[in-house]
Amino acid sequence: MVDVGTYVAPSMELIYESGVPDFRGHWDRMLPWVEVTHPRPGTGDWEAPYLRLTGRRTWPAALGRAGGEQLDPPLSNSGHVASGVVQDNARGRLAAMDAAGVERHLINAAPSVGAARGLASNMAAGVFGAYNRYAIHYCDADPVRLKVALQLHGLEPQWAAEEIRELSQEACVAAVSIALPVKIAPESSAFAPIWQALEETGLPLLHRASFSSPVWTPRYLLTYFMFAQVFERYPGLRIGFAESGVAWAPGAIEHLDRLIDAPGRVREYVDAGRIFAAVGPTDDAASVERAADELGPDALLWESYFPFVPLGCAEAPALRRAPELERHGDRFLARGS
Amino acid sequence: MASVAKLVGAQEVEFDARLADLKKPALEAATLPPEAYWSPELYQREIDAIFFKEWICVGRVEDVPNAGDFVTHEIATESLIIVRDHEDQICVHHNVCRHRGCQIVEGSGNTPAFKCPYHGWMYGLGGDLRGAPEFRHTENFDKKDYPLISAQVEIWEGFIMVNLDPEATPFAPRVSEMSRFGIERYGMSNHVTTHRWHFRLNCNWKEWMENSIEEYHIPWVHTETFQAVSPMKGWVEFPDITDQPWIVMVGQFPGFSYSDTGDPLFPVTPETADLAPEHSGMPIWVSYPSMGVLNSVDTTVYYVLLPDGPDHCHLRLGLAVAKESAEALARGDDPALQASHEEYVRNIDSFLAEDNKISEQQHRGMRSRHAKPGRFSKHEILAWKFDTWVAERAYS
Ligand code: FES
Ligand SMILES: [Fe+2]
Repeated sequence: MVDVGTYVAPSMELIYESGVPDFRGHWDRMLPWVEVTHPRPGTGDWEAPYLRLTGRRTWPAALGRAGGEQLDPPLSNSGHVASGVVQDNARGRLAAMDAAGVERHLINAAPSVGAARGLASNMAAGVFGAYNRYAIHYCDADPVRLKVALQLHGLEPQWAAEEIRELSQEACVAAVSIALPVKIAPESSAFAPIWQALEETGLPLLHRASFSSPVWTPRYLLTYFMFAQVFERYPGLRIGFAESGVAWAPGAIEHLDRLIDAPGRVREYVDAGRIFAAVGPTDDAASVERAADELGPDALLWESYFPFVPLGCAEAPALRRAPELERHGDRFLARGS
Repeated sequence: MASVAKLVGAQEVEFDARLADLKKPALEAATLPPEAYWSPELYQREIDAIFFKEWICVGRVEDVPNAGDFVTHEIATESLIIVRDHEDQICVHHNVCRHRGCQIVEGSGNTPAFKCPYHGWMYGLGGDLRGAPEFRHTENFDKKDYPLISAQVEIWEGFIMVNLDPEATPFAPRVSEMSRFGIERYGMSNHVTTHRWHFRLNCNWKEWMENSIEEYHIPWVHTETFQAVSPMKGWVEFPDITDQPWIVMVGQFPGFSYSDTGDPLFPVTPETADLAPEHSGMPIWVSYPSMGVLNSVDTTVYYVLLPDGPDHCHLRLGLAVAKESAEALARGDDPALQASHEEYVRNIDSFLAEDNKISEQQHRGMRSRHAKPGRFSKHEILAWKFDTWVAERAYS
């Protein structure tokens, strides 16, 4: 079982430590967006207060008494998550994976890292660059079982392309997420360097709903990719949709296939293993069944949101064990497949 | 100046004989030898044996009201960071980076974390090393092993007490007997500082301390201020408590305040009403080596002296009033209260100016090569007790 939707939320101190010197030199500029977080034991969080980014200006007003929000409660079926798993305790994560029978984690950035999108784009790129290096370091504990999805900024495409080329040399790097801004469409030529770098390195794009501007729903993004012929121009490009469940996929794909000049082309990309959608804790059994029927089970990934969990995911354990999901994560994460 | 240490060395025998004279009963004793007020060597012994071993006051809890608030203080060569952490604890750290020793912060402020200006090591407010850039390739390096060095800290009646000796026993039990004099009745832990003073004085720290615990000088020095309200005979000293690291003297002026008339202008702390007559008035408590508290029915005035070489010291004082009054003053919406506060500050300014001036003048005299040990009057028993304690701790 491969879980493509798991998270680390390194503290601002860890991000600072992993940043390039220029970025660290801007520490004081970041302070207004930093808050003190009160940890919640048992969730994989640290036990002492630490700093993290927020999407809004907080400092110094938020300072007062130890404040900040707590992390979401732990996954109902995973029990107690050891201290620091979500920050720096990679060994604890491996133990939790063993306990849950999960072979591999694709590690994504928690919202406290994505919050950097509220900063100037060069600063945000600094945060993401530091995060990526941190995540690679975290996965050093077992680069076969722990995989990194690079976090890159769509407003800095040249930088993003360079990051992909440089960091793809690390064995644990297995996917790329782009923070797509609201103002530039993904078919814009500005993004060409990013798609080109993905083509060259064979890394798939993991589109996470919470990491991009909310306008970029899976359906919307897929439409852009089809009309801009991104799949055609970059024949190695693969995309997985995460944090959106799978209920949207069958209808969207069918609809899009009727709209475009080459009917059935989207379906072909699905069959060729270039389009994936991740079953998440919020999906119900019926939508999973329908998606498996219509897209073919090979197009489905699994994500648990470890160690966070949203409310109302009572069926998650049953879904996670769906046998058709067992194999596909590896196929998605394998370079250039 | 190179000859000073040698001079003391050569006169060691005479110095010891002079100390023996100090250690006689107060009214037979000689005062502390003048060289104790200027010798760098004796000064260093005081630092090592007293300031690095004893509980020193470094301010009040209201100096760092919010998480992330910090102030720095120097105890001789030791710079300290006093900070309220995110769990609402007040911590005291040595202001020394664990990487290569750079001083980390200066002055005061508010910060979410301490970042060393040299190579950017970052520490949490509790002192734990949170970020050490570019250290992944350093062998056997664990950030857990390099926290800021912390000092012992204790909060007592709202005062932040720190001890640089890790072996030191707790502070509160040392002064527990103070309650015999009703110290907790003056509401100090509910008092909030509303005015602060800071002087760098040209005198030895002991000169100012002695001045603060003898009333002999009052009629001559405080001609403009106390003399009118507090004749010498109004003071009661308690020299019988000689085994304690603190002393107390009580001015027998029940209801005393710092107003022009001497009548309290701030709400009177109700618990002071039940004090035994010999304890009610204006007690001055001194916790050795250099902290003093002057209670009155409506305010707390406190001071801390920190030496800065044998010829200088830093004097910090605060005027504190009950929290409710402090809040009203901060709001600034009560002109009468504001005026009362200014009156208190002005009067404290005046008597401080008198004490500071005379202590500096005394120091200039003490530096004369013709200065010799003198004698104590019955009004200076506590100064004798204090000097004996210093001599015992530092020079023996
Ligand atoms: S001395 Fe502090 S980081 Fe180098
Ligand atoms: Fe005086």
